[in-house]
Amino acid sequence: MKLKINYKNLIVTALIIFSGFLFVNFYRFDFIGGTVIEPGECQPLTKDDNSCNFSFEADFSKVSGLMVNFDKKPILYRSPESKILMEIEYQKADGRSEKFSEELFVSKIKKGNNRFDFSPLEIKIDSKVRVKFSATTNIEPLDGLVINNQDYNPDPERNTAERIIYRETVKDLTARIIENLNRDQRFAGYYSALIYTLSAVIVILLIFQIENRK
Amino acid sequence: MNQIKYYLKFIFIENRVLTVWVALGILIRLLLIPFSTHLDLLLSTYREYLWVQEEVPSIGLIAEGILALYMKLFLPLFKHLPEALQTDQYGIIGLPEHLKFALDSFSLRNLFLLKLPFLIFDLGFLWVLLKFARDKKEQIIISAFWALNILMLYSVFAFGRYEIMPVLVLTVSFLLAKNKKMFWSLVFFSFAISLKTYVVILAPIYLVYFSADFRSLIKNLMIIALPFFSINYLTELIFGKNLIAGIGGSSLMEFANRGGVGEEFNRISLFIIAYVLIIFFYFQRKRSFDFWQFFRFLSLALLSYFIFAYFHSHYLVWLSPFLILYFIKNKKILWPTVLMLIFFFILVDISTNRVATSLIFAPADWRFFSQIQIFRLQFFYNLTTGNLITVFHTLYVLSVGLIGYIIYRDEIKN
Repeated sequence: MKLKINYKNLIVTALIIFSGFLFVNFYRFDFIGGTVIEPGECQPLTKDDNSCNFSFEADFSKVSGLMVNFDKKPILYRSPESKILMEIEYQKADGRSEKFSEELFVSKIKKGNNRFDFSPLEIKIDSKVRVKFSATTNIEPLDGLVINNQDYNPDPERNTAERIIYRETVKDLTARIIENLNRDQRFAGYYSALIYTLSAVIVILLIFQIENRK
Repeated sequence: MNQIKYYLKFIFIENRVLTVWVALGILIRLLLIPFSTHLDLLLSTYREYLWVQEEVPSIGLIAEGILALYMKLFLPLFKHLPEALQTDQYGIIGLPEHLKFALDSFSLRNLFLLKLPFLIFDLGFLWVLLKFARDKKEQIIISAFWALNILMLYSVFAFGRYEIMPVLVLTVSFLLAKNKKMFWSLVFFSFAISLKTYVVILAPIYLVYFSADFRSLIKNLMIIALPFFSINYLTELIFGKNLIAGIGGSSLMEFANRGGVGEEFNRISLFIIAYVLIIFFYFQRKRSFDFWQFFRFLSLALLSYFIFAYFHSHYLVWLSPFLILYFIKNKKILWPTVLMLIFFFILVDISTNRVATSLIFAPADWRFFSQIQIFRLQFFYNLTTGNLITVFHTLYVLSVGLIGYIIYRDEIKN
């Protein structure tokens, strides 16, 4: 028996691993669609506070306003006297920012999409957007609000307007998936061991070759 | 000790490349298993759980019954299942339930356990496929196709449907037919029908292949019918429900008729026309116990279904054994198959508004996968959804038609 290194496979394996590293660390998905505030994502900072901060990154080059969908929030309509303050701040990488705010009286909010137009934004390209909601009622009912661009049309047949292009790096996505996996520590341990072992077997078999001596 | 040495040598030295492909296939499947699910899997799991925990006769299909028995055996390993699957209305699971399940702390573990039997069936499928190989080179080709079988990865390991069961049993039936074991081939064919109604499409071709005269035709029909009804009786005893009644033969007819032309009284089903012509053509050209001719006509019958009939996106996996095994005979089907897959997945992504594509991966990260629509690129923005569906469905049909043409041409040449 003789252990031999397959250099061709070694180079190919190294290239695949390196490409994977580059992909995870530097690739960014640009995708189109609305964003939804998930439970727990828009939390007040203190016990008595009724405001929350919610931010997302997007390319606003083709968008001049936002639309907030209140369809799934019937609880809001039960207290028409309450107010919601929506503040939007566009931040550019160089630190410059523009702020817009709009006070929404629940009594004036119509069911469905509510449109908020902003004047053409000079610095909206590649901006990080921070949306702040403050309310005179419990902030909890805001979970589930959907934020879209102002031209959004819920009918997919007619929704041909330009929409917000969201940005998501593979690195952040991978980190969130791993975090998600680690919520069940025991399963994560067994599962990771299985995946790493199998990956190691594949890499070893690709690189090393055992040959019978003649 | 010598036995272990022999197996180690067999796996790691003599069949090193094959082992790499199989390990890669298992790795890809394991990566998909916990991070994806379609609503259908949650619905089936809910029904299985009701039977396991409360003995409610809720199981709808034989494949679900098999999975319910598995769940009963390993129930202590599942966690939070009733809470994660909580739904007020029996049998109705929608996006809020999908979100609830995806956000549950134990969803990945539960999905892993739910889909693990599929991996075992899929390894069985590989083993049967390898039996068709004549040499090591063909074994490696088959294992590579098995490892990267996108249809299986999508339908079974991402979508979470049990299509692997009928596909495996049907492939066993092909192997037995190839080895001229008529009786067992028909018995396994009958099992495959019990697991999924679509297999019945292939019944006339089976009957023509195995029957020499009218008497043997009746005998073969009996061989198919008896196991089918025996399974029904057995499942009724175990699950308290007639599972064959729930197979949905009516939906098969409905799907077959949807791809038709004309209106109301004048409406005709293109699938039925193509299907009858294929059976007639086979009846005329039949050569006794020519397995590959039989296989070509089986492929054509199924391809005609996927050209003319309506089907759910996870059904396309039924083509897997046909495409993998036929590739050994004629490598020219590779490129039409690749095109078919590209057009098919774009079509599914657009027509289901990502519910059957990116949303499947919601358990991995709800925020990202509930927003991203993989194929809905800016390039297509000036086209409406209806137009896009027409364009990509046409391209998909053309590519499936091309595969059918290559198989038909081979038949004419022979």
